[in-house]
Amino acid sequence: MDKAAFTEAVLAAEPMLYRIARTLLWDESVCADAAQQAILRAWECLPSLQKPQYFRTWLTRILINECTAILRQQQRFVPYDLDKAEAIPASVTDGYTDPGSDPYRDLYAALCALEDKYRLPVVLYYWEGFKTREIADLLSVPEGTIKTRLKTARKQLRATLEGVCFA
Amino acid sequence: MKKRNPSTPLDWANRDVFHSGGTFDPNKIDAMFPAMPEAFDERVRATLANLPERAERVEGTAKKPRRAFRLAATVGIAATLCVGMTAVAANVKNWFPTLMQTNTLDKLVTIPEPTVVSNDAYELALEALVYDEAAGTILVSVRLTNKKQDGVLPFVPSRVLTEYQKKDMAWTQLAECYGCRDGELSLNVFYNEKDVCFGKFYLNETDSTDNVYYLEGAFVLDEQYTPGTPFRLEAEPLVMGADGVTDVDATESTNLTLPLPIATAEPIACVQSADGAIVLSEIGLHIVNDPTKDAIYNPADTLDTCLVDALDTIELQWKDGKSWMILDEKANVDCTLYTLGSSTLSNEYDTATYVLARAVDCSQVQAIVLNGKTFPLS
Repeated sequence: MDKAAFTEAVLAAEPMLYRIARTLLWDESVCADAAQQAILRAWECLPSLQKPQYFRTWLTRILINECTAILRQQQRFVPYDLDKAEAIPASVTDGYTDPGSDPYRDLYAALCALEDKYRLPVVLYYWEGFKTREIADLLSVPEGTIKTRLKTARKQLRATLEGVCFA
Repeated sequence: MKKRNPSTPLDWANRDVFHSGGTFDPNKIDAMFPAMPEAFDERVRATLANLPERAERVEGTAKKPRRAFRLAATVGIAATLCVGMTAVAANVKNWFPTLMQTNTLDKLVTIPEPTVVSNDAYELALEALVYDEAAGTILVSVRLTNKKQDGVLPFVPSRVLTEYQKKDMAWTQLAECYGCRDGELSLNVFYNEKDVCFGKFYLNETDSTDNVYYLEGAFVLDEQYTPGTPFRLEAEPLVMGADGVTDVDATESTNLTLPLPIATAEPIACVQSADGAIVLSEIGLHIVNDPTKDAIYNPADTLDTCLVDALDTIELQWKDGKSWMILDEKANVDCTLYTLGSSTLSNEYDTATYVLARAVDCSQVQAIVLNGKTFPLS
């Protein structure tokens, strides 16, 4: 894969990169940092990609690692800031494209309220179209665990959104 | 059009979550995520437009990317001197060739008793240490040997984007040792139980080989550090957790902890301003802004809220009339390796500490000029 093909493949995956980064990270600028790092690492490591058809999965894995590395650094170096922590729920709907459509906002807010370990499989499965086996590989956990997490996530979402009308 | 599972977000919301029988608008649920901001798209495109040229690799011999290093004759010398353990030995080698272009640090370098730790995978040996109590900085040089001999780097040599690399900005020329993936190493200098020294390790690409890596680190001590407290370098393997997060190995059975002894370090020379707010050592610069005294800047007069942001130019003036521009933001000059600012909103303290990219002969320093304001040093 040459530079032009790599660029084309990354741009095709760009919306996915944003959604996954946004699923794990709250700050827009940090999302961009993670994507930038992931692209550079992917470019550097491109010769190790054996089969180009797995580019999207491979890039996703790199991005998730970058996001988690950022999270890890933040956990280690940034003192716990109560104000910032409490501000997170308010930022859930920042940039939301259709503020008049409350049920969708509620659904997204409910998704964001899930723990990382539940939220990420939901986004990867329902939005990005990865199979449970692929997600298991991406996150290095057994496939059964992914299925359990998806089930738990659905249950939590149902509980959170009880009474919300989408009709 | 992206690939979808048979159960799309629409199906998911209708069936799996609400059992509501298809009342969702597929367009809206697709747009449920916040729209991708322009800034994100611009960053992605800028990154793609500035992709660096890839280094040549040796194909098919390693699972992770590997870099080809030039085997330098100094490797053998370094190994020998590590056993020699006398400060005299330092005269024959610049222990920080990546960080310091000059070899004037000889008399400052501590080469202690052989300090080596190892596990099944790696051997970590202290090469040299400079402890700068005056300005609160440290330089550390270590040798990391890959005992598996598989040529797989335990970190990524990470560089800033090409567009941000400037020839007169020292730190932009360096390759940071950045571990983040499963199996890679997280390298940190700690004191006390888990207080971290802020800084980075950089790869000496000239002397390192496929399986022996020379790392040079520049670190700054924060306000919490008590002078004399011992340091240690921890090389912690990262493992992919069950949640898909790489973190240090919780079992710590594979961690390498290398003591960094400072007891034998020769006190480092320094000069300071009349009120002691500015301390310049041979490798570091520590500045305190005190609005009640001879302030370098007044937060009330600028948009900057801390000293490190307010300082745009730092220049050293020598006794012979010459000068050295350490920092000039507009001219893209930055002869520092690492910078740490510490401040509080209430201005109880507001400090900036720099590790310099060149050793300073303090006896030849006349003054320092900060944002155009001259402060004599003695």
